[in-house]
Amino acid sequence: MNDRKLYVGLDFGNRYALMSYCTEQMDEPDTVSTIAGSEIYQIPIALCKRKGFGQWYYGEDALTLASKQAGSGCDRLFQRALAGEEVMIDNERYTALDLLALFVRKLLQAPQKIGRSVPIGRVTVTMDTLSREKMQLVHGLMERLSISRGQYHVMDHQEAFYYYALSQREELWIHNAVLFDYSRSNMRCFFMERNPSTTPQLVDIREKNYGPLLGNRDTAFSDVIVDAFARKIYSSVYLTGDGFEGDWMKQSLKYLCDGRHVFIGKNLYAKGACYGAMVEGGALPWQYAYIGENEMKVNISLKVSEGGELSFYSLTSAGENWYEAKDECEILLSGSKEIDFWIQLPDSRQARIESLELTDLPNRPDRMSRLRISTEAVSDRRIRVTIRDLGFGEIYRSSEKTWQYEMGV
Amino acid sequence: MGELILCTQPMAGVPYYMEQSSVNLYSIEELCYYFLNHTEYLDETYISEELCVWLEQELRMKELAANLRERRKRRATAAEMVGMILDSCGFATRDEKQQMKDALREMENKSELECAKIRADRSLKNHRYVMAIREYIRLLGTEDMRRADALMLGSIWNNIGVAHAGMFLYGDAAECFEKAYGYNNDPECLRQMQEAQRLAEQGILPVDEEDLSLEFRNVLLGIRQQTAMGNRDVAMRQWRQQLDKLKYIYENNSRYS
Repeated sequence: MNDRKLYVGLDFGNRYALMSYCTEQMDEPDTVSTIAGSEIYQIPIALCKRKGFGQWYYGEDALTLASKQAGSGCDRLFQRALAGEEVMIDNERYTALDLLALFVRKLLQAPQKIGRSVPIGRVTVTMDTLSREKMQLVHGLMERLSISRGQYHVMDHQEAFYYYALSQREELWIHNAVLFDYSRSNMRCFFMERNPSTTPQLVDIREKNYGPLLGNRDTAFSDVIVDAFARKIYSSVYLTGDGFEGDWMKQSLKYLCDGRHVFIGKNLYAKGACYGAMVEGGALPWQYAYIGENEMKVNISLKVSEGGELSFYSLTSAGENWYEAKDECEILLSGSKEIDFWIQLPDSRQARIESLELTDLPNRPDRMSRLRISTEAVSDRRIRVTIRDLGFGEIYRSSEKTWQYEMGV
Repeated sequence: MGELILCTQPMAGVPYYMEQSSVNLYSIEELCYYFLNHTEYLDETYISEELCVWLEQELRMKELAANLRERRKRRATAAEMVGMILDSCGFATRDEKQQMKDALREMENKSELECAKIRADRSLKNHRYVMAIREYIRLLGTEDMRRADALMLGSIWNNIGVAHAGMFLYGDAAECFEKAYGYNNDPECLRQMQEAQRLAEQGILPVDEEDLSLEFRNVLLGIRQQTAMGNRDVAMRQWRQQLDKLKYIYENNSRYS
């Protein structure tokens, strides 16, 4: 019985997408290349419908077809979908999101060598930065691909780097790791540091933006390296981004390679996202925790009785992507009309209690007020709580009252 | 300091219709509440295949449904099966569960007649007067009751009288106490009969009629008219029909229209 599952990392940029994939039987993720055997991983996010045939082409093939006037299509589908655009192709109107879904569907068929019949275990989507609009776009995309909510998640490039770096062999991260991302003429540096004394090991990534490399790029980059490595030891250095193309690194490369492992490639984020998919899917053991700018910085819980035992029900956990941090539970009130929310920072043993009193809840006997408590993060530090009175079936009808509060740190 | 009891199962989209009380139940907690408040009526028939299907499909409690089916197959007791349902969620306290189990165990290994008497007595004790009257009347109609001694019959008619008095139907209560006295010659029954007659003559009502709903006032008017015409049986039937309609709400919410 084939119980292999496919773990996928999708990296979306403005113009290109990269896809890495892996199964538990593979040593490491592979990345889809436009030409088999090559390392050309960047796939234009483009579709083209061949004239007269109704067949769709994607990536470089789509651009080639379009340039020869042999088909009708468009590129930059991700940006267009984000903008909510509609596109006319072959006299038919499509939403850019539907076309993006078709593009991804075709891309997911690419890992030929492991067979098309391997079901998807988990997908991780990564982008440079996250926003509500991008999150909603991904939700819409996954819905069209029939990939359920529990089968995917989204991370930014920093988090993808975190998964990539710590999935390498130990000597490459024992003294931490650095990533230089030179994209769109902008040099950014990400310093990953690990605290080995905590369980799980907390990982921090600090960003420093050096801006464009002015004048002689090699010299300018050397200055960046000197500044970045000042008084710090790093086991490995990763270079990614279009800016590193060409043979301009001479002196800077020599300096980089002095006592460090240096790697260059464009598929780091896609591979990192793929590793992330494996970790979330339980296919890769993981002993680290990362809290970046997209992750919740606070734990908020309810103290509840479950089966007669007291426990804490977590409404939001530190480390959870705040764009996705939503929860809902139902409780019966017993004893009073007050609900206590326990608010705690992850590195603290102390908790603050925020009590909400439902003053105009109708008076009912004990345990006969069922309330639905819904929470949604409004930032990485605050949540909105909505409480709705459900009554107690036909015995006590719901008053339809709702209460809304915001809380956090 | 309050407590929050976590509801581990969602509410049902389609409720479970508890035929015995004409009520819809939407959650496992409501089911537990129902059982705790209708202990006197619970027996194995309440744990039906329909209930198992509802638990499985609407509440997604597959394991509970499977366990109940298995218990039904081997004819487990009501105490055991109801206990499993109470244990499946955090609604009932430990004391409530124990009281429930004790009450149900009391009914085990008893004859149908004894169980019916216990049910009726518990209903009366819990102020479920309509249910109590129904059970006693049903009991009186059984074959076994026809052979019962005067003391038993007197006790039952006394309790029927108490139930009527509980609903302020003093005239009927007086008749019941009279019957009871006729069986058992208990001076206490005689005293109660006289007291009920006195209250009935004074036309004591618990509330100002203006406080009652239009429907209820019309029912009372109808009953009085039938009584004045000497149609006491018709009047009683009308009264019982109205009470049946209001039965569940009255006995669970302690209010009626």
